This record gives sequence, C-alpha cells and structure tokens, in this order.
Amino acid sequence: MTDLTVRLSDITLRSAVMTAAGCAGTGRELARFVDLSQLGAFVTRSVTRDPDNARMSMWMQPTPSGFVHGVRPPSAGLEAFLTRELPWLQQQRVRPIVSLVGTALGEYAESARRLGQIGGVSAVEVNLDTVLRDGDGQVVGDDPFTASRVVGTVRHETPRGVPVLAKLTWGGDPLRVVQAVGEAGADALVLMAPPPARTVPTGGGAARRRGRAALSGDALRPLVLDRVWRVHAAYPSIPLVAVGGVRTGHDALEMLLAGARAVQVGTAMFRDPVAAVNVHRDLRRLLEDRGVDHVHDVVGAGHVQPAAAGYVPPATGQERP
Amino acid sequence: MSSGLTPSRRPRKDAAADRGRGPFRTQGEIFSVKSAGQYHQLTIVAEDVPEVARPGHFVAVDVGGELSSSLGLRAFSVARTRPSGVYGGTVDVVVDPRGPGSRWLAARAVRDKVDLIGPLGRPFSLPKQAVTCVLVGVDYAAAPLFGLAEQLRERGCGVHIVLGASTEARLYGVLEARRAALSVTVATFDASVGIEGTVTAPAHQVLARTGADVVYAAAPSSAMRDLRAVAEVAAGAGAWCQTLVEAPMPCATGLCQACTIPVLGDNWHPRIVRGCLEGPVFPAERVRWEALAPDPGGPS
Repeated sequence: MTDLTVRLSDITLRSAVMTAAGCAGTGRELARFVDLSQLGAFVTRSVTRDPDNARMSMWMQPTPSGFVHGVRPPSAGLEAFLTRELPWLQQQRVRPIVSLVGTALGEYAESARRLGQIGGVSAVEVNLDTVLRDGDGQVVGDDPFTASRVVGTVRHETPRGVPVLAKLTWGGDPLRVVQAVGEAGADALVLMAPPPARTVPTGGGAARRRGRAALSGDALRPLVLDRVWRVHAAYPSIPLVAVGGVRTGHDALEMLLAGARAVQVGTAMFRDPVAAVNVHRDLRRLLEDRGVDHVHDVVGAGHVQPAAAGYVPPATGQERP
Repeated sequence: MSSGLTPSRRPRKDAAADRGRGPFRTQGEIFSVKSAGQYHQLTIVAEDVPEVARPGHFVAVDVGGELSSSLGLRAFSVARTRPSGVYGGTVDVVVDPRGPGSRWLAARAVRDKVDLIGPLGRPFSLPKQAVTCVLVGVDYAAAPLFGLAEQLRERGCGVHIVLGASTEARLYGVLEARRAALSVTVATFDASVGIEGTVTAPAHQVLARTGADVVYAAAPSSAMRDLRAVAEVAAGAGAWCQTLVEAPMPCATGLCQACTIPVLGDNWHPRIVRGCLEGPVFPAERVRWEALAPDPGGPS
C-alpha cells in the first residue's frame, strides 16, 4: 500500500490531502459525512482576532466551473474559535491547521501569540489575501515587503516546531514574493489564494456586491498548476501545498507531479462533501497502480523534462532562500 | 451515476453522533414528474431520506450531470414524503424552472438518476397543544406547508391556509389546500384569481377572524418583503410565527458560508448564521429583516 504520509517542515501529515481554508466550516458539518481522521489535516476558516460578525459581505455566484465570491466571510473572532471550535477539532484525530487573517500587523501578531499559548495547533496558515487598514490599499500577498513582514511576525510569535504556512496571492512578481516570505521564515507555501474576480449584476442587487471578490473552483486548476510548477522549478526545496480546483485523485496527482507536496480540497466539497476523502482514496489507488511506494517519490517528478514544458528556472535562486 | 457523488450511499458508521437521522448522501431515482401550474413536481425514490425528513427540511440536488461546469448543489424544500413502499420511500420537490439548475432538474424523466443529500436544515416546530394555525405560502415555497398541515391536523390543530402568487399559474397547491384546511384564501397580484394583492392583507384578516395562535409562513427570496410583512402581522396579532427563509445555498451543508442570514441570537445579540444549518425555518422575531439583503444572485 502506498504511503501517503508527507512531511511539512517539523510535522508529518497522515495524508497528502487536507481541506482548504474556508471550505470546510467548523469541521462538525463535514463530520456528518466523512471521517475527518482520514485527512492529512483540517484547515480552519480564516480566523480574525476580533469578532467580525456584523456584516453581510459573503456571497457566492456560480460561474463556469467555479464560484465568484466575497473574500471575507463573517468571523466570530479568535476567542470564540478557541472556545467553540478548536477543542472539538482536537478531539477528531485530525491535525488542526489554523488559518489566520487580519487587517493590521498587530492583529496577526496577537492571534499567533494567543494560538501559541493555547497549543495543540499543528500549523498556522497565514492568509495574505487581505488589505491592511493602515497600508496603501494593496493586497498584502501582492507585495513582497508587506507579505514578508506579516509572515515574519507570525513566525516570530509561533512556537518552534509549529510550521507557518504562507498562502500566496496572485498579484506582484511571484518569485520575488516567494523569496521574501521564504526569507521571513515561512516553512511552506500554500499556492494559491483565489484570484481576484468579478461579476457585474445586470439587474439590481449591486448593493451587496461591495468589497473584493475572488474566483474559486475547478476553473483555477491549470492556473495553480502553472504557479506550482514555476515555484517548484525555482525553489525545489520549499515545501508547496497546492490549492485550487482539486476535485479528484487525478487532479491531486497532477499537482504533486508539478511539485506540490500536499494538496488542499476546497470548493469540490460544496458539490460533494466527501470529495476530500475521495481524493485521498483515489490518489492512493493511482499511486498504487503506478507502483509508487511513497507519495514523496512523485513530488516534482513532472519536471524531468523541464525544457519541454517551456519553463526555464531563473539562474539564481536554485537554493532555498 | 449522473454526476459528482460517488456510489457510497451511506455515511460511514463512525461519522457522526446523530448519523441515524441523516443527512444522507444518496442516489435517487425519478419516480414521477407532474406539472403544477408553472412548476414541476418531482417524486424521487431516495433511500433513508423520507423516513427522517420533516416539513421544512430540504434536500440538495446535484444538478447538471457529469459534464456540467456547475459546482454547486440546488436546494429544494421537501414538499411531501412517503415512507418505504414497493419502490422504496419517496420525497417530492416542487421545482420552479427559472434558472439553469432548476431547469435541468425539471427536465429529468422518469427513471433518471439524481444524486442528492438530505434531509438538511431545521424543520418547522410543531405546537404541543391543539391550537389554531394559519399557514401562509407564496409561490412554490408553499409546498412544504401541506405536509405541515397534515401533521398539525393529526395533533388536533385547526388549519387555515393563505396562498399567494403574482398570477394564477404561479400559485401552488390550491386544490390540495381545500382538502387540507378549514379555510383557504387565495391572493394574486394581478387578481387573476382570488383577492387582488399580496398575502399580507388576507393573512391579517384570517388571523383576526380565527384568533389563531400560530402562523407558519414560507416565501421565495424574491418575496422576502411579503414574508416580513406576514411576520409583522403575526406579531401584531400576538401570534407565534415561524418563517421559512429562502437563501441561495451553493453547498447546502454548512461549508461555504454563502447563505448567511442575520438573526438575533442568545440574549438578542445580533449574529450571522448559515441559513442551511440554523434555518431555513426561523422564529420570525429572531430574523433581522432589515439587514436581510434582497436576493443578490440571478436565478439558479
């Protein structure tokens, strides 16, 4: 039987398949349909330091092979998460990875510090798809400097042995951002946050569509594959977690061949809540069919003929920054 | 298999504490398709679901088939359930074919397979005593009220029904209502049948005439204003009111957070909850109607 365990910095995941942030509720909803312990990790909804419950910013509209949706759903805040959601998750024999988001550097810092005090968190995922209140209006992850400050702050406040994953965004120069957050201490990269997108209402309804929006779903898969491919080509030693449009075991295998060590399943669970567990099961079968003993053996294996695929890694940056 | 759900029909035995009550993922089979005005009423053979579904519950149907670029489910109120018979238990849903997903489902033929999840959500609560109830339904959203009426009558409750729609073809269940209720009042906006206008004024009159203690109301999201108005009428009459609030539910299982409903939670504190988990039925006084945005999306 193929070994699907993967190592992300200091932790070992039981499977290379986990849930994606914001797509699996609190875990209780999903547990009605699946055994969470089959997953490599459960990534939580993005948690803000303070409750952010007053607004109705979340909406979702189907588009071909995807959804366009508001970027920030309501959040009950870190304390509510720590009392109402995390203890339950910790009883489920699944590694909890907490996704953090904020609108100020200090919020990320306080949240990370508090999580560190509480303990029992397997890893922290830093959601960089946000705009800082006192910033220049740019998405944090699009700017190497701001992204590295946020990641560096969370890394500083997070105990050793608890990996910090940085979830990158689509703007800016991708390899510069990768290098910057790598130097700031990110232990792994999550590629990618949903790209900015838009729908334009043709008859009323505009009032609810304020704020940033993004695209999730199958439509992203080739775009994410390309990004994983390029980042892995440039920095083969950085652990990558692919997220965006993974719906089947085959999709996951593609991501692994491109260079991802693990995958997250998100939107696919909206159509079938069992999707993530099915990806795990089907990936194992695909690897067994190919006679692969360990999932690690296929990571980046698609790069064997990199020139044929049209990508030439930059001359510098062959080593991990 | 018509689409994304896999053949494993039941959740794992160790999945959830209350797994016996569902929700279940199952592959259903279309047993019959009837037209009802502008709507299509589908009877679907579905394992496990009919036994536990109650009025107000809904099912989420995977629409579009295997090659579809649609990634979400469509939620439909359970209109009727029949327990296991020769063909197995069935659930009825009433489909308004107004968007690509609902049109796809409405176009299914007998024996076609559909993947679905159900029952989902919180159903209507029933009164403990035999009280008088007014059931108010707009368009196809009235569908779950008839199963509800049956259960209320079994408890000895007097049932009065008010049905409304923009026009006669969009009314649902008038004949069935005449069989199920002590009185039936119909209102259409274009006065094609019954009283001219919305359900609000007739609901008010029936409440005053019957002195009912309980109001149940259901309306599509396009008629949210009527739902709110009925809730206010009920509050004015001192009646306890439950409302079935429709919201677009891309996943219907609590994962995507897109079906948010603003409510008053414990200690009347404002909260935002997921309509698919804590709804679709809410006590009317808990809904923050003023914060409930009008239906943002196109028809689905």
